Amino acid sequence: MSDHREHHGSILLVDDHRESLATLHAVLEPLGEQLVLAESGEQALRALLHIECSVILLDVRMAGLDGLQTARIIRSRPGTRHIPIIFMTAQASELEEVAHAYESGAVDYVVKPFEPEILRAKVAVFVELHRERGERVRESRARAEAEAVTRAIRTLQILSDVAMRHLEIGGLATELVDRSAELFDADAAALLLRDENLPGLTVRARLGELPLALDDDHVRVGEGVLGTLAAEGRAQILLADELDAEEREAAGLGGVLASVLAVPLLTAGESMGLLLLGACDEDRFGQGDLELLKLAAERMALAVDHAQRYADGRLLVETLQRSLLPERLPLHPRVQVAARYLPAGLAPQIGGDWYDSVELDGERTAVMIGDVVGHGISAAVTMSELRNALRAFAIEGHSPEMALRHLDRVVHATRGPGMVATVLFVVIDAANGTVTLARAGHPPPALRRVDGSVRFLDTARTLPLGIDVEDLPSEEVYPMEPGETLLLFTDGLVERRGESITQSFDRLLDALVGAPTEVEAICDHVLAQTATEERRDDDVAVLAVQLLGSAVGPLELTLPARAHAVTAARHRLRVWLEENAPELDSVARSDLEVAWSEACSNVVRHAYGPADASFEARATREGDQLQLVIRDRGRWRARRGRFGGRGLPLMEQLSDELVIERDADSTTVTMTRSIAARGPEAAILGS
Amino acid sequence: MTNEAPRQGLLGGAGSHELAAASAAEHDGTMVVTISGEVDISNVNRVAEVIFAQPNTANGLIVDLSQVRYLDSTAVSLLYDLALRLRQRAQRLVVVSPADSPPRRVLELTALSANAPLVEELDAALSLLGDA
Repeated sequence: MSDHREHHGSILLVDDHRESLATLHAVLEPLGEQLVLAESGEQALRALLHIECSVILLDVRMAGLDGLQTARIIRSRPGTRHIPIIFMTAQASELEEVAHAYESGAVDYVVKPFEPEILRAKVAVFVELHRERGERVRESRARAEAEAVTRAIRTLQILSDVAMRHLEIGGLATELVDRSAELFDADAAALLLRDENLPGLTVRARLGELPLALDDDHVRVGEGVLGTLAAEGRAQILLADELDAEEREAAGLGGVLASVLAVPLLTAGESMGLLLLGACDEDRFGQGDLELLKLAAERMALAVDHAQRYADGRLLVETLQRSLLPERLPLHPRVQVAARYLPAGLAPQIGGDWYDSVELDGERTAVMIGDVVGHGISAAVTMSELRNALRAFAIEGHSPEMALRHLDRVVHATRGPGMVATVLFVVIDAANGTVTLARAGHPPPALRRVDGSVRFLDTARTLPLGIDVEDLPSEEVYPMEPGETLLLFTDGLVERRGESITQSFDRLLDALVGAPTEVEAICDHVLAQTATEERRDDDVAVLAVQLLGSAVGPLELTLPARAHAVTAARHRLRVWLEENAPELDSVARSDLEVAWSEACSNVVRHAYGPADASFEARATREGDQLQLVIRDRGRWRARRGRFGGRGLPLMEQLSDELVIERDADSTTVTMTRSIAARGPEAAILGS
Repeated sequence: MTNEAPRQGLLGGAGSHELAAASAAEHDGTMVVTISGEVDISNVNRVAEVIFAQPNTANGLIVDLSQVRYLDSTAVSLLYDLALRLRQRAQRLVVVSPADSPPRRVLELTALSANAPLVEELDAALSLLGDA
């Protein structure tokens, strides 16, 4: 083996079969990267002493040191610890070793025979990451030499780390401001960025008890002292004493601050932001600080630009993926279903996760979840095909076992070898109180009992579809009581780097134990507890299914303040009214539905705060009085959304009594209505 | 012209269990948007998209709510908005909603009829616009 010390980011291929190495070489050659071949773990470790490596493809089964042992040694060496490892498993039975593979530091695995396109795409991602990291390292080295300032390196590293860590613009802006203020010992700091809805630059994050007092938190590019600096792309230290009153105001120095260090964030020569650091004295910032902050601002600009592009790309991908998933799950009288999908966080791309639900008859509901290995359009297309096929088998009346066997044939017939998908198919029978499930290589669902205990319905392990026509999934039946919840998920929910599968599954069970009772809220809770927003490697689908008990007695719901929750709340009330107030006529029933939904809609439109706000809805019957109580946490505020404003009068007219109580942190709407028929005069008000 | 394919089917993506469906067809030169299912805050914007995507025809627009099982104030506001826009262009909105249907009651309570005639059947709506 020759010395590849010169080369940056070689790809190391390790396999004890020469034919496999040759195949890998052919598949990865188009990437244009240096490929280094090793025929054993020992050879691979030797090679790593001489080459800089962007990613390692490592066969699990090898003579001598096997893949897992080799990976552990690579992980134990400081110089190679950071190199991502993709495991290759030759046979499906080795999938059992995947858990060990992750434990020993794998970031991914592929099953042979692999889809060349998918493998190439996976490797390309790591090569690109390595290249970006290399560029950053090289840049900062060159600059450090030029500057010969030790503090500069540290400062830049810290700020670069901040920039690296965040993909999401809000968190990035906040931390950049915090860290800049800390590193430059500023009393106040603010980061202004372009806002697509406004001209100029708007404060995105700020810090300090003595804030920079900017008019409307806004700077018009080209106007005033700061606007001029932004327009010219120039950094400057502004001193309050050297400015007139108007200029002081415009520079944010209207308060007690005596100096401001202002540095524009530039991309392609254009100002996309402005970083301001303020101090109570005049000599806090020197020329050296100015130069250093200018350098740091370049990194910030790159990071901000990246985060904004990322947000745009992610929006596109989410939209596309959502168009492939069911817009809304069916509403069953006895079964409540909610689902969430999150795309991969590492780089926005279409994933292969999917889910679906079909009402088979009045008592039986089919719920499916699956994961097509790979990303991108081809995975999404396969996902869509499988979803439709499985849906058809479900509607035809096939049992979970038979449906998956049929689906396996579809996979083999239409996609050929190399296409691998995991699927879990569940049928819930509300009349019998059973759940029948079959799974092909998919993680088992978790069941939460009424007493709060949780466990996995861990049926016999079977292979993913598309691997072996002889190894077919079989089904098992478990009891399911009213009030119990089944949680289905894809492995993106539990896979986390540096964590074993056992740890991940335990974490999921813990999250489920602590989750609220309602399915929509359960999904949100489980995601919040398990999926990390940034740097998620895989897409995630999660689905909660609850068998509803007898609806006699109070109806109590805790729901996220989102539009879909209004629909869910209305359907729950509809079922509840049938059982708890059967004597109501259809008009009264629909009146109550409207009043209840309007109150819930109000919460969704007015609830203060971000999307994770929740509200409580409660329906009770005392004698012939029905009471509907909707309570949110947080003040009402200006409405959100286009169509609204007529809800309150409707609520008034449709209930006998409407009481709205507001206090510091909640608003409670209480509506009562008698079950006795209303007089005709009340029936048509305002017509 | 009723043989024309609906301009828009289910309100949503690939799934087939949407809360509402909306379609549009032309009846003797008048556009009729037929909505079925339930309209609430979660899908009113999609319904609005279908309605506002319809071509601007001479006499006005009919929105047929005969198949609607549930409708709330967000949908009423949409109809108000639509009536206002049409009036500004000297056109009319006619809403079809049979007596005793759930939407009818909400429409009456919110006094939509002051802005758009409420009729029981599609034929009545067509003749109303045809006479205009």
